Amino acid sequence: MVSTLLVSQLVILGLMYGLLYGVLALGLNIVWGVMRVVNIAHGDFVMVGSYTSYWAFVLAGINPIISLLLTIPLGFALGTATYLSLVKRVQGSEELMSLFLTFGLSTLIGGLLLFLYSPTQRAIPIYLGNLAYLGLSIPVNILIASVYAIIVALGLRIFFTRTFWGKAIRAVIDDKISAMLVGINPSMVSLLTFGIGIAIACSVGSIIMLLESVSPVSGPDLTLISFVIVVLGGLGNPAGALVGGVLLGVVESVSSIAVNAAVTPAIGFIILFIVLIVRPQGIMGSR
Amino acid sequence: MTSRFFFRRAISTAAVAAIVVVLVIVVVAGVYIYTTSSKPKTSGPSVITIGMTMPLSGSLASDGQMSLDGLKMWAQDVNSSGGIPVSSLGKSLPVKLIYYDDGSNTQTVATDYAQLVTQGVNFLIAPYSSPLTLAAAPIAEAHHILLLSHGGASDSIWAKGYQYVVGVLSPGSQYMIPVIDMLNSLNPKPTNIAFFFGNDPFSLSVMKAVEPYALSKGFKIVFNQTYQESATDFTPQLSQIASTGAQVLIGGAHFVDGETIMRNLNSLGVKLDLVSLLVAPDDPHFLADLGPLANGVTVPSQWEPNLDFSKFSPYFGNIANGQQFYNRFMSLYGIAPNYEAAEAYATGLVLEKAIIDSGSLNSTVVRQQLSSENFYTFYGHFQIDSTGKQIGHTMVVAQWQNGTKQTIWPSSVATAQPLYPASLPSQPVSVMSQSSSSVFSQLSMNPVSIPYQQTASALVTTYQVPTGQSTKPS
Amino acid sequence: MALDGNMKEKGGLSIGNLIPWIAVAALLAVAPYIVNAALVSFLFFFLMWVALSQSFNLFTGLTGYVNFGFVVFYGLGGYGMTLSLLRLNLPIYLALLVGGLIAAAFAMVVSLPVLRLRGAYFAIAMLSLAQAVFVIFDNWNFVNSATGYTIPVQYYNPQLQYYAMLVIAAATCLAVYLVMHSKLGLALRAIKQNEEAAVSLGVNSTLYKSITLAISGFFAGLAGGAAIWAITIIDPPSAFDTTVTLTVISMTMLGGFGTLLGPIIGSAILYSVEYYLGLTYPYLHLIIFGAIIIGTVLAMPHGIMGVLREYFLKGRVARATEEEIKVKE
Repeated sequence: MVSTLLVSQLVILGLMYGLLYGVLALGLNIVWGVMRVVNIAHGDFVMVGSYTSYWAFVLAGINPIISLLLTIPLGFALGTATYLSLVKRVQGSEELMSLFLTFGLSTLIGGLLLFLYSPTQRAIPIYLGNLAYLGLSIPVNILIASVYAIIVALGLRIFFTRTFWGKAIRAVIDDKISAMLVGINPSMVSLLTFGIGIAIACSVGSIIMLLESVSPVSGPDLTLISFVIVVLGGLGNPAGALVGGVLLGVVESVSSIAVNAAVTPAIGFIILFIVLIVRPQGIMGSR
Repeated sequence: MTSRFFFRRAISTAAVAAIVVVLVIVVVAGVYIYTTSSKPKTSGPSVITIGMTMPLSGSLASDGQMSLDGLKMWAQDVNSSGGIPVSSLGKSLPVKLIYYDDGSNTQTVATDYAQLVTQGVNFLIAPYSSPLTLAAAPIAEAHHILLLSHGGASDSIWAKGYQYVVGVLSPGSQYMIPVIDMLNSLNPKPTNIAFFFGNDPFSLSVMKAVEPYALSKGFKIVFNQTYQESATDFTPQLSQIASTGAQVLIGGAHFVDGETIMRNLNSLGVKLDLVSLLVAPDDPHFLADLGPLANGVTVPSQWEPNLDFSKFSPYFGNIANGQQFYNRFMSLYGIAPNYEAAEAYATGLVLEKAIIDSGSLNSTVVRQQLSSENFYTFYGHFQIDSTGKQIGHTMVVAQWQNGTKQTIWPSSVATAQPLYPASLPSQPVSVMSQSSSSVFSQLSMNPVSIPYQQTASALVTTYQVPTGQSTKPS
Repeated sequence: MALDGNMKEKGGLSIGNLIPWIAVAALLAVAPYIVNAALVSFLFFFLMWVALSQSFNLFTGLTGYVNFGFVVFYGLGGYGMTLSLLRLNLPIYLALLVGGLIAAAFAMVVSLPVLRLRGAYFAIAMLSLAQAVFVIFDNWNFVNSATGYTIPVQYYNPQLQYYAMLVIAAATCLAVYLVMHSKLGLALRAIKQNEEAAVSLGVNSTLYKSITLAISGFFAGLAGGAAIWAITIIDPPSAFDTTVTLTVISMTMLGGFGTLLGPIIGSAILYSVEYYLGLTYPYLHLIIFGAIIIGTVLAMPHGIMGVLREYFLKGRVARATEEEIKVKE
């Protein structure tokens, strides 16, 4: 029999894992929403963050949480460099050109990681145990990941509502032409957005090292799951990414009572497919 | 003349140019393949060529590398001792391995084995893993070239009626049988078992065989699911396993998922009496990555370094025993061998023995010879049934105990008592300050020790039963 | 823009235009008698990539909708062929046809909901669809779940397989040519340039797109079936491997979208590169693939065909102008 305790345990796990999903998709969401650039290389940038954290740990014993100080600026630098050298040239042309470009970038980054670090799976041997409360068990590493997701989301919210460039980015999302008319430089906005998006992606790579082993080929899987979440939550809406992530996390977790674990990965895709057909703007999005 | 005319001409010129481009590429590629794959036109063979692909990139890369290293070491040993004597030629010939990277991809296996057979290889060795072995088999069969499998365990490989495919390792159906026997011998005996296997041909063939066997031994299966190997989080399923009151978890598939299960068990604080996983715990990286979490985890193993078959007759090969293999491999590659390396090396030995005994380099002759072979190497017994499936070799169960991998079953060859209940995983541990490289160097300094230099006689008498289902401990 | 090139092949079926085609076809037809098994196998998979990238091109090149779930047609064709061979004991050629038809039927059915989506949404819907089909097959006992099937060794015949693939590749090229020069092709070009305008002029956009997707699925299914016949093993991870889609996109992109020759050139270059690098340097081909795609997007968005065309066009026009000036003088 399925007990209430088990169900609440699964809901909590799904909720926490869902927040990680959300922050994973956050970078993809703002880049797509603001720039209309579909970044297929998103997951590979996450991997760059993971590998940076891994080597920081192996070579210098740096904890992945502390190596966030390394991966966030690295991600921002990579993002701006990628924007200036590649993405800028296709921005403004068809959405599909950016799709192809970032697909090439994804293949390139994946190949480079394989070439440099071999296909061996890498893991950091840090185990944080769990908090037990009322018969529920809360894994500390997943808790850290979900807290990090909330911090990033709050930070982005403050950035979007309190700072000039944050407001500028929102203005561009709402109406690009009007934003340009009031003197906002759209290529500066794009540069900033891409930098922030990739910085978040790389930092999530650090957090992931607390949870699982990674390999250079994990990137495309992460991109795929991020797509699901972005479309679920709605484009260009950072809060939507978190909602989409939590929704997917909880559904995957709770459905495991009824469904064989091998089928679980299909659930996200089937939900996505239905949402796309019924409500293409996403659950939180507006047309 | 209108410009439209020129436009037309320009298009057709472009078309012709494009066709020329295609032709040039295809011809250049063709010449390249032709020159690399044309047979040597010498009077008699001066070298025994053995062809294979290995997954050196893609999802199976680490297993492929381990297997390739084992085979390379065999070739090196053979050649340094003067090659293989071939009586029909009246001389000893050195061996030459030709290997390509198949990227863990069945299509590449198909093209590369076609390439290998046209290169005139004498014998073929299969790639690591069941699907890749299955992709190589028909090509070997069609060209009547012997294909030795060292890493394809799925029983289905020998159910296709292939004449030229011979297995050196125990098939998948055998893997978890000794684990059930071991559990059955415990006092108090556990009752509730959870099954959580990967959804792939190998793990499914293991599960298909162990499920009825466990039931027949009076165990209760309280959870039975498969998972997709690429999944990164099993906490929902493991929470359910905990809620079913399972004492033992049996499952796994390959490396990463095995580690993820252990990590998730720890992060949930789920306590199990024993965990037995396929493949992953046998790899030395398992200890390096998991540190104290590895403690108590068991693994069905094709081979462990402490096994010593040297008293058996006929005993074949220049490796005296498992410990010697372990030390040689360690000094050559700087990493501890797992059973994948041992079974690959043993595959070389099996081929060597059959060539010497038949005195021929003809695959059909050597294949016939293999049917009548019955001998031991450092890896264990070799004997096949009429389909080419391995029936002589037996599996053991190993367990990580305080950073050392001990053989715990069958008790006749055990180097330690089973640690049970192992309370898996151990208490929340934090090795925050310890870098993984230091964990690894600690591992290398403590090679698997051999407390009892036990003979394997009891192992063989106990397990020398043709089919896995009827295997019983004495 | 790559997908904007209105590249109807002009020139018609004159003798001059047919000669290179006939030469290539004849060369490929006699190949098994003059080259060794390794080269036949190489040519077989080259032809497979031609058929696959050409059928991908048929839909994506002509409509501008990027089918990121393309591999699902390849996999369904493979499964359709295998099941009808093993379960229904159909002769192999009929089994291949069944595979193609199953893929086409699937394309027709999913096109109804999916084709309402535009741009990246269509791409993601197809991608998620392919992934869902993969997971379903991986767990579906009717198709032997994750274990899949092997084709019995009595069907293994490299020469027959080669000719089957040659016919499929040639038929796919011919189909692309015919579609380009038909009313359907005209309608597709109208849709690609401005779908709203085309619809308002009475073009039944959904119907045309559905038919094209089904034709694309049919040929991809045929190629998938023939490929599985040669590989002899089918299981969900290899039948629905996203890498197939990505490779096909790269090949078509490099050669030039919407052209008849582009996918052939792209297949020839990328498959040769991959074959050579795969034999010699693992991993390196991914880096080179990535660099080629990025380079293509930035430097020649119309692919090699675009560059060739521009080069010859410029040369011709320049010379023609010179001649005209001379005549006038």
